[in-house]
Amino acid sequence: MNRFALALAFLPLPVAAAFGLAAESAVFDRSAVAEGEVFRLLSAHWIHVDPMHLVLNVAGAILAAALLSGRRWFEVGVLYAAGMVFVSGGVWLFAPQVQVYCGLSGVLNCVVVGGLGLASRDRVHARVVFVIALLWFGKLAGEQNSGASLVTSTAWPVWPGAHLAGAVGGVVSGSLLTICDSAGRLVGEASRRRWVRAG
Amino acid sequence: MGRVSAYEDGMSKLRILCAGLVVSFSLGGCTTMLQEFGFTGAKRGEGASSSLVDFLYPRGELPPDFDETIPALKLPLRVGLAFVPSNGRGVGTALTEEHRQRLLETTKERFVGYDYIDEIMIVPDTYMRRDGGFDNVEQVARLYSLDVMTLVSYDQVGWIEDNWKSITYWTIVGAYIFEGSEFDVSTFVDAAVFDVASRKLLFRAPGSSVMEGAARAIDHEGEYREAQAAGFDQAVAEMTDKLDAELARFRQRVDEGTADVVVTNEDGSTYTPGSASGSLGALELALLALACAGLWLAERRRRRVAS
Repeated sequence: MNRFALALAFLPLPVAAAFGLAAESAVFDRSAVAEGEVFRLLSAHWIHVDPMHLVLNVAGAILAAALLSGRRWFEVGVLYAAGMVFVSGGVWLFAPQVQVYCGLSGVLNCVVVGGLGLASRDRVHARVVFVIALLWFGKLAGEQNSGASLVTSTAWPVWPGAHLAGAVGGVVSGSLLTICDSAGRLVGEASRRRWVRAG
Repeated sequence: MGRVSAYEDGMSKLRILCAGLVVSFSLGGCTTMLQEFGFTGAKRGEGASSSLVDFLYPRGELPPDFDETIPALKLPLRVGLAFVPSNGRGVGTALTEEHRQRLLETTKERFVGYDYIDEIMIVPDTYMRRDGGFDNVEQVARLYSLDVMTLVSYDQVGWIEDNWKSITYWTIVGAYIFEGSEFDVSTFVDAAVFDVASRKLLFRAPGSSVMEGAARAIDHEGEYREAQAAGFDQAVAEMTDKLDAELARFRQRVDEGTADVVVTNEDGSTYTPGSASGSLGALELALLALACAGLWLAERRRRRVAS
């Protein structure tokens, strides 16, 4: 279990205790963001509309922490940050009908997809990662096909576009982390050889 | 000689008269027979209709004044689907009770998959009283626990007219060979969707069709009936398409908050137009648990192999 990811998984609980559910002061509010309250682009993801919404997302974040086991803290941080940027950007640019938005699931889609990408670097995990990634993208395709549901388990209807935006963020950030990691290894290896040669 | 000539002349006139009478009676018989076929040599029209306004306001009463009650729709909805009873005017139509039910079934099938519709109940004609009004609608809604009622009214007018080929009908054989009877059937149907509790119209969708054809005297009644039935099929199919489009527009208005309705979920929470949330569901949690278990097993196998 990744400790940093676990700490982030529980973060919505104190946020809910401090600000309350569906806190108007912190959710993504299109008009408020337009007036300069850009902090909402980040804070909205830690706000939840009702207890069921909170429980489902915290449970998902705990499982995501287990998925990220063995990853470095900054990798986890990059995935969460990318999730917030991509989901907020997605809502802002591609869902003009959405006036208010909150919830962590879009970010979690980024964390899961990016986390699967990082796990795939290890050959032992590659087969499991391939199967889960296939199922996850199948779920995303199904969501996009069926569209937003008017009948919801949460007070605010789930917008599937947030999950897609998060998944795109996961692919991008996971790929960048993998490229950086590979580049870092190559640079490290080259400097080690240089050091051995010099020694 | 002159007397014989006058006698023959008289007989000749009598023969002509008799021949004239025979021809006249024969043709009279033919006409009677052709009338049996339905041929009258003239244009005739017939139709059948059911009026929504007559049904809802049977005694000519005025609709209530505008009130500011906003329909409250609790999702998922239970929807009733029924034909407005015929107003009894007109000769008749090919629309039988069985055909009506079949048409409503095709409309129902289109809307079965929508998540915000719990069930669509087809209300039999026998449950709908002529001039029943909103009281009848409320009785049926209570019986079936309906939230919303869709009332389908119709108007069908048909014309049969004989063209120039119908002259051959006088030969009797022509009635079996030549298509001397032309017909056209115009059908209009309209589906109005009402919120039962507030008695407010949510939206409506029309459908229409025009069927034209020609037939022989011997079978034009049958072909005309088929055209009447096909007219209803086409009009209801068009109405169903438009109803689907209207429902999508209504749904969009609900999303945008411009529809004059309050939508509540099963748990009692009010739908907030323009709001959206990101929430994981049971499927995502199951997939995540599966992923964690898979990675853990792969890791354990590696450690076992390494040791």
